[in-house]
Amino acid sequence: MADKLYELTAHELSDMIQSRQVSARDVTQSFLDRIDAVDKSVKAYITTTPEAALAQAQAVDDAIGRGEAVGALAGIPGGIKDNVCTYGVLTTCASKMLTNFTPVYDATVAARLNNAGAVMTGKTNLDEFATGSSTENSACFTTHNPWNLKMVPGGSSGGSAAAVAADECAFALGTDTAGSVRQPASFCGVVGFKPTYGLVSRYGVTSLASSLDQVGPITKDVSDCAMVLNAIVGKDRLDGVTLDIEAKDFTKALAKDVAGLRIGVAAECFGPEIDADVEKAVRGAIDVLIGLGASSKEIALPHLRYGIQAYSIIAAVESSSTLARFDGVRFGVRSKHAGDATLMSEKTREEGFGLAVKQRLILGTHLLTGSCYDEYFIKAQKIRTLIIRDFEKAFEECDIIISPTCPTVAFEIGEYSDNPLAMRNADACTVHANLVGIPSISVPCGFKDGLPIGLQITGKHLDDETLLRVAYTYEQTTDWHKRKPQLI
Amino acid sequence: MVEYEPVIGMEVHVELLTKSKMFCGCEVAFGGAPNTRCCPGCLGLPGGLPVVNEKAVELMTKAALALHCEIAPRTIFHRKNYFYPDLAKNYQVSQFDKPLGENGYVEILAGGKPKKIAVRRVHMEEDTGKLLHVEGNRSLVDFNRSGMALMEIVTMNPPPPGFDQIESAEEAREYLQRLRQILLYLEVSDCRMEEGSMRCEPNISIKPKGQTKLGTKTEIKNLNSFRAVYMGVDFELKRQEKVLREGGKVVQETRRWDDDRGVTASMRSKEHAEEYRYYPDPDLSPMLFDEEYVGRIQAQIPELPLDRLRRFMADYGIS
Repeated sequence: MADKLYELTAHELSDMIQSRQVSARDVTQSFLDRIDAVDKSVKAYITTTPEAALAQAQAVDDAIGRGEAVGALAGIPGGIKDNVCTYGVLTTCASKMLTNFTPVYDATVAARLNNAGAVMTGKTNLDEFATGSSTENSACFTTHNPWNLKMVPGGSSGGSAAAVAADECAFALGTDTAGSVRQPASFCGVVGFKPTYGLVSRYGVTSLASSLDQVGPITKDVSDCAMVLNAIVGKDRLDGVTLDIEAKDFTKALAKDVAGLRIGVAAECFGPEIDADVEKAVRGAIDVLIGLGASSKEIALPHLRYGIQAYSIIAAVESSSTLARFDGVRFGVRSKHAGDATLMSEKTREEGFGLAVKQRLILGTHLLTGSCYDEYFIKAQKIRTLIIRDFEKAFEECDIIISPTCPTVAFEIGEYSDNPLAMRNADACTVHANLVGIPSISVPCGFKDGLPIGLQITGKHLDDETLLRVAYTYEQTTDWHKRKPQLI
Repeated sequence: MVEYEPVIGMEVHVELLTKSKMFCGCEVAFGGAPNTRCCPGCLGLPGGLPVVNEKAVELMTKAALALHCEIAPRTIFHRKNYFYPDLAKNYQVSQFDKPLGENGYVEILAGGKPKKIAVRRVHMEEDTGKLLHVEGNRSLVDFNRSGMALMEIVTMNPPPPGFDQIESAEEAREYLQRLRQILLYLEVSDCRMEEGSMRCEPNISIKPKGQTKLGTKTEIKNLNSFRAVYMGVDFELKRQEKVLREGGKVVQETRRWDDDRGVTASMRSKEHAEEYRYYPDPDLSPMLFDEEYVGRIQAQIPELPLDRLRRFMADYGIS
């Protein structure tokens, strides 16, 4: 048992640590050994922090030894996406711009994990500044899908999802702007959750598009998801848009009960872009829930098809200013072609940003100029409102909406290198939850050609618990989540 | 000979007397060691976020009310995008089409005669850092000032019926002095021009008397005293008149007041319309002002200087 601790879930490890069956140090060591063994092929981590991890684990063991009560996450190793600031630990956002950036402060989510006693294994790979769906836009390297190393892990939180799938950590944090937690979770066969906008603090998380970004857990099962949520949610006085709601225990939502649940199924979520086997798996999952007492109902989400376009405009506009701070003046890599201040910033940005980021910045800057503002940005915001209304109306008739997380299973590395726009379809099913601000989770629901398929459950604003309950019920009835990739 | 008349617009920035900055908890103070009063937010570090300082909003509401402005029931912050090394995020959080206060006035005495100078808007924004140019063609940036709460007060030209505009250098100075007095009474700002807690940037143009079409305007910076405001505006009016009389054209530009030489000199051209790509800041929620809030702030406003003057004159027969 002891040599395969890394295969266990966070809640199983938590029980063992709390009951002193294993030490936190042994747990951490097991994951560190696993990273040594497999990360050279998966390449999930940009930075690993083994010494600090062992020291954190030791502190948990010491506390337990002194008889102190420790939280559920105490001693549980987790990876953190490398766009989340971590005090004293390199935070690159997978950009050349930040290859030397060591934050002087912790993001609120990092601090909360730390306070909960979680152990940080390291910082995981992503598409540069979370711009992409495959980690191929990382300036560091591309992460490989543990189920098939030729395939992408999804993105932008591809490193986090791959690390969890490959047992290189017990859980990870990702960020989700258009599906960046759920899509890689789907591709890697793990659980990925985007909470209601405002439930989790964004302070210290490098913004891409402020109105869409949300931090979420990537875990091996739904129970772990609830456990990590418990540690990170809640009002943060440093993020003005976090919601002022009472602390919740999300593990209380983990009941096997979908009796009377009304599942909304929208034809718009099963368009021609959806792979036939993916659709079959998702419809099969709906049948499983119906077999447990739920009912399904056709709902209409007529404006869904404009979602990707509206998202592309809003995200480009917002990132054109959130990424303006990367200018070489105060931190990060500064171009050697200094000259005057303007030239220094220009050269720094020219050399520091990758192509996908530059495309987005140019687009966003253009969209805010002159008449484009009304013609595109305002129109995109109006579409956003129409999509919000679509969902409000749909939720009058159903409790949750089920769809595929992604149109397909993981694609091959390099498959879209000639046609990056086509890759945007990877977000086709996920982007709406960000535009609307509602919670959405992806759980494994099948396989195609040895690659995982994701089931997406989307819920009402602030009804994250129902989501977790449905996901938990489905998971406990099936065993997709128990399958593991054969890496060595 | 053509007679010219001036059009003078006043843009005044005032630092608020808050303990902390507009969008973070950093201390507000003058001077001190550079870069000692900043945080991820006002330094524009990755992940820094703004949170509104309630006290700043309160002080600005108070000022807007004392300037007889209408308070917007709902107001939002915009991002004003431009690159400059003293601007930490390379966008300034400011207000655009939905300012906190609109359509007010400042009463002045022009040669003893009262005039109501129309105020177009009062809005909230954050201050920038400060550039220091040092030996060896190098520049340093101090972010202690970055993110401090600023209030911008802009006059309206032409004024609506029943209101007036500033028509001379003398009135420009009087406007600024009256405004300062009000803000001091309200304890909204210490209004120290020499320390930069009150900054005035007049826009100046002249046009043939009676003509409605405005002339080309210039903006004057570096006016660090009331005297400088008077001298600078006066100089600029005369300079523009001379240019026009000699058959020249006024160039749209920013001009810097040189206090030692007593002249304005060209700083940078403003020929091209500036494109700030304003859009609503998604990091900050809209602010709603209900009657209860506005009423509570209104009740805090003390008797203002000119009202007190009139009361004394009436009650004690002083003239």
